[in-house]
Parts: sequence; C-alpha cells; structure tokens
Amino acid sequence: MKTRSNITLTILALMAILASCQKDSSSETDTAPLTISFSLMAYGAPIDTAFQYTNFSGEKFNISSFKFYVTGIEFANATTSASEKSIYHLVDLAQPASRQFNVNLKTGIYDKINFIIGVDSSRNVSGAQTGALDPTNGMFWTWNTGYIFAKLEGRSPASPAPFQKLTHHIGGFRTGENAIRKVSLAIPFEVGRTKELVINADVQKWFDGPHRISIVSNASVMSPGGVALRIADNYAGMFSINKVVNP
Amino acid sequence: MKKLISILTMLLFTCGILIVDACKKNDTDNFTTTPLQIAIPEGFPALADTYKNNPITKEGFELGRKLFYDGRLSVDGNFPCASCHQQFAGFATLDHDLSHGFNNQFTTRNAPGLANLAWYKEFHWDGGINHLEVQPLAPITAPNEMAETVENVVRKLNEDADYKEMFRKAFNSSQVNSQQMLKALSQFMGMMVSANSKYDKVKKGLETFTSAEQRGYQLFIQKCNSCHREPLFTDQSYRNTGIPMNNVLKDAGRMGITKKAEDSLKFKVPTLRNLFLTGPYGHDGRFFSVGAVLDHYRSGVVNGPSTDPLVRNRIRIDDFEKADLTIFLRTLTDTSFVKDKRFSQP
Repeated sequence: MKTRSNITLTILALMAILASCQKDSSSETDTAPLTISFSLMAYGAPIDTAFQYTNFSGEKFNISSFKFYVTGIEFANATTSASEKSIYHLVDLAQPASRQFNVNLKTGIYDKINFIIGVDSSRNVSGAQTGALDPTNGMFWTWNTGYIFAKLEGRSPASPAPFQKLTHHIGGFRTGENAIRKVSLAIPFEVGRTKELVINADVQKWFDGPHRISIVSNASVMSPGGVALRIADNYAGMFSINKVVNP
Repeated sequence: MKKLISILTMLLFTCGILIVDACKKNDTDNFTTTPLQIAIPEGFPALADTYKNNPITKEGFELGRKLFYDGRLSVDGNFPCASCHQQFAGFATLDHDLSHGFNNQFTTRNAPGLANLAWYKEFHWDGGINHLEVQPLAPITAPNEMAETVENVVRKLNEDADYKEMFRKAFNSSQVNSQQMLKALSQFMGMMVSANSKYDKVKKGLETFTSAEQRGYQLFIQKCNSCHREPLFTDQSYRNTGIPMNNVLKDAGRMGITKKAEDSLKFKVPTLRNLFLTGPYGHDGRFFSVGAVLDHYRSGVVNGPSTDPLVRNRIRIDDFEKADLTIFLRTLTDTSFVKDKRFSQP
C-alpha cells in the first residue's frame, strides 16, 4: 500500500515537473495579441517625402526622416491596467514594417492606451544595448551618451543651416533635460476581440503645439535641454486615435 | 514485489530528472567560456559597475584585443583604436599634442593614456560618456577620427569567418551585433590594469624610494594629491586649472556636456600613472613636458570665473621642489604594463 502511494506520488511529481517545464501554455491563456499601428502623417495626410509642407508661420519644409521610440505600452481602465515592460519599439518612416507591431497583454475591456515616447534613463546609463536600442539604428549620441528619442530631418528654405537642413534630434534623460513624455489616448477596445489600434502621429504638432517652433530660429536642435524640451512637449501631443479595428 | 516496485519508482524518478535536465539545456549546448577576473591591486577602491552585465572571459578579452588592433573599425582601414592608443606610450599617442584621424585630420583633444579603466565612471576629457561599453562609438564614428559607421563595422565583422567564430566562442552568437563588439572591447580595456610601478612596489614594501623620490612624494601629497588622488592618481572630477581657451579649438570642456556656465573650461583630472610615457599634456596637449606642466601651476595659471580655488593662487613650488616632484612622478611609470604581451597586438 505504502509503495503504491510512493509510485503515485512519484508520477504526480513527475507530471508537475513536466508541466513546469513546458510553461508557455497554461499561464498565458489570459493574454491576447493586439496590433498597434502608427500612421505617420503631416497635416492630415500620410507623409509624402516629396511634398513640401508649410508650417504655422508660413515656413516651407519637406521631411526625409521621421522616427521615434515607443515604450511602456499600457492598456488601462478604471480598475486595472496591463503593460509591456522594458520593450522598445522604434517607429521609422523609412521602415514600413516598423510602424506595426503586436502587443500581448491581458485580455479585457480597456478605455485607454498609454505609452511613453523616449528611452528610460537606466537604458541610457548601462552600456551597450541591442535590438531596437542598437546604436546602429542612428538614435544614439556617441559624444554625449544618450538616446535620441525622436528625430525629424528634412530641408527648408527657412533654414539658415548648411544645405538648408532641418535637423531635430530630441532626447535627454538627466534632471532638467528630461524629454521623456507620456502619451495617453482615450479609446474603448477589447484585448481578445479588437484586432488593431491605429494611431496617428502628425508632424504638424511637432512645430505647432503648446510651443511654437519656427524653423528659422530652430533649424538644428541636436542636444538635450532647452528647445528640445519644448519640442518634446509638442510631439507628445501629435498622437491621436485613427481607428479601432474590431471583427 | 516490493523491491520491484521501489526499483520502478527509482527508475521513474531518474527518468523525470533526465527529462527535466534535457528541457533545461538546449541553447547552452557546446558553449563554455573561461572566466577572467580583474585583479584588484592592493589599496585600489572597489570597481565601478562596468561588468555587471558583461562578465569578462578569456574569449571576450581576446576578441576585444583583436578589435582594438584592427584597422577595419575605421573607414579606410588605417585607424584602429591602437593608432592613437599605443601601448609603448602608455596607450596614449607618443609625441602628439593632437592625434591624427581619417584624411589627415587632427583630433581636437589629446589622446589620454589607457589604464585602470574599470575604475572609471565617465570618459573623455569632458566626461560626456557614461559607460566604458559605449565609449568606442565616439572615435569610431567621429569624422576626424575613425570616420566609420557602426553599421559598416558590424557588417565587416559579419563578413569575416574568423571573427564570426570568435564571437560565437565569446557570446554564443551566430550573428555579430554592435552590443557584442562593444562588450568585447570593454572586456579588453578593463583588463588593462597598471599597478606595478616603482611607486606601487614601494607601497607594497618591496622597494624603497630614494631620498629625492621620498621628498617628491611628500610634496606630491601636499600639493597635488587633492586632485590627482592616489591610487588612481585622479579623483575623476572636472576642474578648470587655469588653462586659457585655445582660440582655434574653442573647447569649453565640461560645459559642452552640462551647458552650465560654471563648468566652462573644466576638464577631467587626468591620471598621472605612466605620466612620463603619455606626454604631451593637457586636454589639447599644449604642454610638451612635465616641467612645462609644473611651470604652468607655478606661474602660468590664468584665472577666470570657473578657475579651481586650489590653483587660483598658483601652486608654490621652488626649483628644488620641482626637481624632487619630477623625480617622484617618474616612479609612476609601469614598464611591465607597456610590455605586457596580453595587451599587445595579437
């Protein structure tokens, strides 16, 4: 009798061990994928790199590069929230595939999506990173360690810089230079049912938000602090919900 | 029967352990590295956090050394790290105020000697770089230094079968990426410990100072040690030592990083280890001898708003003291370090 229970125990233990070994299946049944897509826009239409835009003060410019880091994606409702931890997405005008990614979070009904534009300070001070944060992505200051959180480049007849360049490299994680910005968009959706959230990012607000940024006096912004903080305030407001794709 | 059942139980159990074992292994198969330790010299402070996420191994160190001496990290193949950081010069550039980079260009600052980097928290004369791992990105990409892109370097490494094998051995990777390259370089540079000069031997009681060296050491403690603090011979702070701005380079030093006026013309206090190998001196190499540096502190300090209080009234050093100080500073030369084969071109 005793030996039989021994066998039973061993078999049970074995099953437990095996179950723990293939851990993916059981514990994650309550999450589901949701596609987040960014529509990169300028003045209400998808960015056309051949088009010349006109900002609030009549300055003409075109766009050759536009990219930014998205992290800390969080779904929330009045009682609960679920978020991605330590995952970075680099959304890049030049890489169509980068504008769309899947997020796997807890199923449920939410009414808000929050995210951060920037790179957490610990990642700025802990040495070489990889993946979206690989310095080969061109979003890293080599001479004054730190990530560029958002980048807008182009040309403008209003720019006094060589070749009429417009160069905005925005970042900064130190006290007094912190350009990390949180974005919060209200929209009802359901993880487990909703297929996709499409979010607009419109360059118009980069220049014309809480602060008015003229090209003639800010053609080159390439270090943290000062005007970079104002541009970060502006682009934090460039996001809006385009649509929610439900089945 | 009882026996049979207990054997069966044992068998089942062993089986279970084997299965669990099998499910753990997989990607670590066939991957072993030989750990290396940075030997902390007696009296040195605790290490900076540099290696928390980058354990040093023989494989990573040797890979880092190969990278350090490889011109392919530069755009035209002519400028390895070692072109400005020469071992015989204490890993500074011998006899050059400013080093040479791609296309006959000068750098804008004097290349510092490299030693004991594992104890440093910030790099460059202005401290703009906050981790040893990301330091090489600056010279690799600077147009007047190695003038290359990190992307190209990684591509070149991936095209080289020897490198791919070395990266596999060091990091168990099938594809080289910039992070592994930087971690390998960091492992090599961090192992470069220099603590075997006459000064160190005297501290350990293995040798004794001559009377002139001893007098020089006493003077050093009185007049220099508050910034060039033992045993690293730097307190890693930024100070304006009364060196007026160079009108061509227009280098404001630390202020370029912090944007604070009070940091104008402040530069990192350099180590004095291997001093007599690493000249010229000063952030722009304007002093061609140790004597010229001492003369600056005796009579050349130009005061400005951010000039350090410790040098504001200049430092009183008479000619006899200058000679004794110079003799002491010579005891900081670590000949075994500059001849150490572990740090030489492989």
